[in-house]
Amino acid sequence: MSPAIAAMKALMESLRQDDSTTLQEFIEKMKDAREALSDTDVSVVSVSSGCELFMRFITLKHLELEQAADFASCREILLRRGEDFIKSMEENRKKILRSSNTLIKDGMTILTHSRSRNVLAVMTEAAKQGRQFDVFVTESQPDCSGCRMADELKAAGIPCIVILDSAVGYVMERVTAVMLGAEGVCENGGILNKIGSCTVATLAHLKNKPVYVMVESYKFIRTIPLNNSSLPKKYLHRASVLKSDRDLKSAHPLVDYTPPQNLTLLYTDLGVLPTSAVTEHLIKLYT
Amino acid sequence: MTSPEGPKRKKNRKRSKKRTPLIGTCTSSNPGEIIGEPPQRPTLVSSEVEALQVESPKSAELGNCLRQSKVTSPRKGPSQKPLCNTGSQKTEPLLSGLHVTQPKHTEIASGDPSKTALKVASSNGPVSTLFTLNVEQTQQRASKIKSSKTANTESMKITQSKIRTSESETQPQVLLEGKTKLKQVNKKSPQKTSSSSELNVAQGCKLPFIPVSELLVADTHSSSIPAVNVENTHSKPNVKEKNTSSVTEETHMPNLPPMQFELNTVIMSEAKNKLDHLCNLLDSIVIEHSGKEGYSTNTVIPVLVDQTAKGTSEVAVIPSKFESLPGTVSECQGEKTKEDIEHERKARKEAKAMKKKGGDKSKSENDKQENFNCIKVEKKKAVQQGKPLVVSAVTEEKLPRGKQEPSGSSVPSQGTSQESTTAKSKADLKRERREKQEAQRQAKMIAKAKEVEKQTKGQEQVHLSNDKAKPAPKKKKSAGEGAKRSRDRRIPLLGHLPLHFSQLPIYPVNCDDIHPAVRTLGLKMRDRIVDGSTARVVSTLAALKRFINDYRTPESCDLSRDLAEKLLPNVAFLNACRPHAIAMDNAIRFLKHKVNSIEASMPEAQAKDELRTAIDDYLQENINLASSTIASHAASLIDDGDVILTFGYSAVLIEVVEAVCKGGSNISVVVVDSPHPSSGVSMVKKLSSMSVTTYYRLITDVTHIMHKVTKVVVEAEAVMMNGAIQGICGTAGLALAAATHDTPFIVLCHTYKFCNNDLTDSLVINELGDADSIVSCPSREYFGLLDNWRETQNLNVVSLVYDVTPACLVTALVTEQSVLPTSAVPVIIRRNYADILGQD
Repeated sequence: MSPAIAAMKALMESLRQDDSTTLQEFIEKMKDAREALSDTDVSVVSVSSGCELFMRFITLKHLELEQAADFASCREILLRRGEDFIKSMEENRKKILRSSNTLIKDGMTILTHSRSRNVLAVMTEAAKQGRQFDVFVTESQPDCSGCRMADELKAAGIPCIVILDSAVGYVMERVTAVMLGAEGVCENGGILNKIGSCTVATLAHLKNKPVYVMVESYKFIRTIPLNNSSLPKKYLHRASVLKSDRDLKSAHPLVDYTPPQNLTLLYTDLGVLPTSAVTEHLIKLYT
Repeated sequence: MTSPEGPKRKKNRKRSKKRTPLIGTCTSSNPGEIIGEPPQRPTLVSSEVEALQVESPKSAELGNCLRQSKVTSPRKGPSQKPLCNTGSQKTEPLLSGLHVTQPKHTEIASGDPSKTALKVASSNGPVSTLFTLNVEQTQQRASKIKSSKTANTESMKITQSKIRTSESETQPQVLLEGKTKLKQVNKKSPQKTSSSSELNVAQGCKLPFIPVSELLVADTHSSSIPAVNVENTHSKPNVKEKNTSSVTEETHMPNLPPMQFELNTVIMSEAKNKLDHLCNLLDSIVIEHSGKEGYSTNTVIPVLVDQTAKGTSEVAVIPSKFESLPGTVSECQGEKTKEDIEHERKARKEAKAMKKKGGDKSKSENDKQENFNCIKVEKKKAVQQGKPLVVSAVTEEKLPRGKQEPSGSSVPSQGTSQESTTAKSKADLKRERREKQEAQRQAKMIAKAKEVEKQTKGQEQVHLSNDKAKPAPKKKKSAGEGAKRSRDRRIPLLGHLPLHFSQLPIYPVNCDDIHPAVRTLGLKMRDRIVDGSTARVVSTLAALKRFINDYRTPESCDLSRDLAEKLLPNVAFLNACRPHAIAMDNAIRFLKHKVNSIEASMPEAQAKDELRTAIDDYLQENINLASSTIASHAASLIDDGDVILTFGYSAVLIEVVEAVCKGGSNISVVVVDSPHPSSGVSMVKKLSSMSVTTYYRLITDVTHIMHKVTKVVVEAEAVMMNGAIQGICGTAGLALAAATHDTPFIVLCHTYKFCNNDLTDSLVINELGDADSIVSCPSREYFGLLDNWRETQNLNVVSLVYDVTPACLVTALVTEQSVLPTSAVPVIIRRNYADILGQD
């Protein structure tokens, strides 16, 4: 389960146990809950974006809520909406699979970075359909999530090789496509992902290899990083690191930003999008 | 006699060859010189030249005295020749031959002595006045020689070969001086001569101070030759008919329009200074007006062409010489414009002196006086400022004469005539004025016919230079005329764009169609008093609001229809003054939409109120509030220690910097600027007053500083549907530079400037700027070289106002809604203008 979905479920739970008497009070409390969730050692990007979207969705159409007789009935509406939203979010992966089912073809060599549930699902689905393809997985330091990914791929019967992060350039010429997940998708279509993604995507772009991103639409965030150095610190480091008075300059960042120029297509639950289409959906979602 | 001639000529040729690398233009005179030379050259001349040459190598400052006296005696003969022959046409071949063989020498020798001689001969005044005149003349001569000497001697510094030529050039003048002395002042005290020689010596001492750069002086000498020549032939008949005053007038016809203008302006200013010269002022104004038309019709500006054309008819030999001198002429033209200011200054002084002396002196004397004064000023300034002054004196004296040729004797020049008139009595003035006007009218009639085929850029050039010299009152006129001329020059590929300063549609002053507020605004926009898209939108809406305020619905109409109709000419007028900015189009479209959506049943007062509030709201929401929101959004993108680079003036960016500073961040700002127009200056001023570290640079050296810049922030004029940015010309280059250095390129833009159009290049939708501002360059060396670019067939000078930055070069677009990628533009347009799009 992705942390964002988990966070939404946690919010749902707190909504159920909520004892506030007015909508305003409820919204305030939920805000606190969201901050608490973002304070954990998870990928903050998707959690915060998922939570915000969740809140937006359940409190959408204030008018309907205000027409409710009392807060109890109001909460009923909120709960119902929350359940619906989470259910639809859980459906997202299936939608992504549907949109990307022809992506992997026989004889492809795919490079992937780190571990992504979406990428894993897409590959497993393709293997299930009997397609023959090879996978390179980067080791993805510092948490070696790539090794975990490789294990899972092997379990699905997909031949895969773990390579060093520094060997990306070496294998790139043999690769037909790069597939990445994302922790967040910026408004301009660039992605925030596990550190090293930028390297992979840039090299792929340099060698004219397509870079496909499997991502759910709740990870869309309303920011445009100008470059990597302008990323907010809460995205770069875990909350525990930020809280400790360590020198952040020496701390390894967890995510990096890949500009949209280096990406080819986004496979989302909204369909297959070019990077420039993200902003339209974001504007639709948030206004 | 012939034997000295041969080597002499050779020497001449040699000299010219030597000069070529230094003054390319000068050389052109030489072929003509040799070709046009008649076989039987006046021997006297050659001999005299010989004498000169013998001396020239020696020539030192100390030697001046000697040389003068020596040279004068042989010179006397030939110089008198033209004088004797004044009445007859036969002299012309002789004269021309003289010119041809040694253009530089004859220039002054033939021109000046004849003039002075004429004056002396014709002046009927008492002997005493004559005497004083002579004294002045000598003085003037001396100083003049000095000036020319300074010019020439300067070239000495450069090369030895140069020295020789320049020396030889000076000699004729020296000769002349001696001659005049002999002729006119011989009865006078010998001190005068000595004083003049002293002056020469003194001038020799000054030589080292003179900057080397002004080699052109020599050119101006040679360029004026033809003019002088013609003048001589012309003035002869005139002497018989007219009194001295008229002669001087004629002889002083400005050769080149800039000069002419200059004189006018000069006199204007002079008259302003003195109340008792009020009548002169009036006169000058009248003359100025007529004069303008006079030469606008005459099309003097392609000086060379005109001269050659008319010269041919008058003197057969001259054309060849002219053809040989094209370079020099043009060069001399450029030189003149450079010295406009100096002329003015000089003339002012001269006017003062004139006033002192009173108006009872003869015309010729006045003339002399003027020259004398000029030179005086020169003398003073020569040491500090170097050559230009000297040059100007020479040119001023000579150029006017050339004017005679194109205009003929019928059209007196305003400038010189005026000078002479200042000294005249009122009756004289009136009479003269009448004559002049008559003549001008005739000239106008003739020239009008010509005007169709000859539209001159040179005129425009004149205006430009004139504008510089005297800004306020003439500016508009000149602009109008410039527009007339420039209209004919369409630049290939950009022919669809309305020209800079295109002709305004003519509306009567109190016409109903155009509201005065709109009219005022239109003119302000045209003159770039209101500039920048935001300012233009605000002022447009304000003007239209006033228009709505004053609007009354006619009986039989309903407001929305009638108002929309009445709005059209106003909008069209604004567009004619200056093509609408895209933001303005949007604002006007919004207003039209509002007007159209007013229901017929609504009472007029209420409807107007609604419209006014709509305008106010529009301004408030889309500009005032939006600006502050943009500032806060943009400030969030800027971190502590950033080096921001911006382009030109942007009010929003100042707000951004303010917001950043308020947030406690310490940033520095680099303002790059385009030279035309340099709006960044005011930006720098504002920023530095906010105690922000500011650097000011031209866009040309942006590559030097780009690697130190962390963010580039510019304001857009408009954003197109495909995300392309329309900005002030130079923005696209800046974006490229930023992309090369991988520096984020942030664009600030209000969403009301979003445009429902796609642009991929900057040619389709653009505006032509003032191309003349590009070719006018502050560098002395290249000043005015391209002033007459419109005459050059295959040369196109283009100044575009906007350019288009492709969307891929833009990192982020900061709008009042949020920080957006360029791909969001169509979404915003669709959402914001859903109601307005589709209707225009």
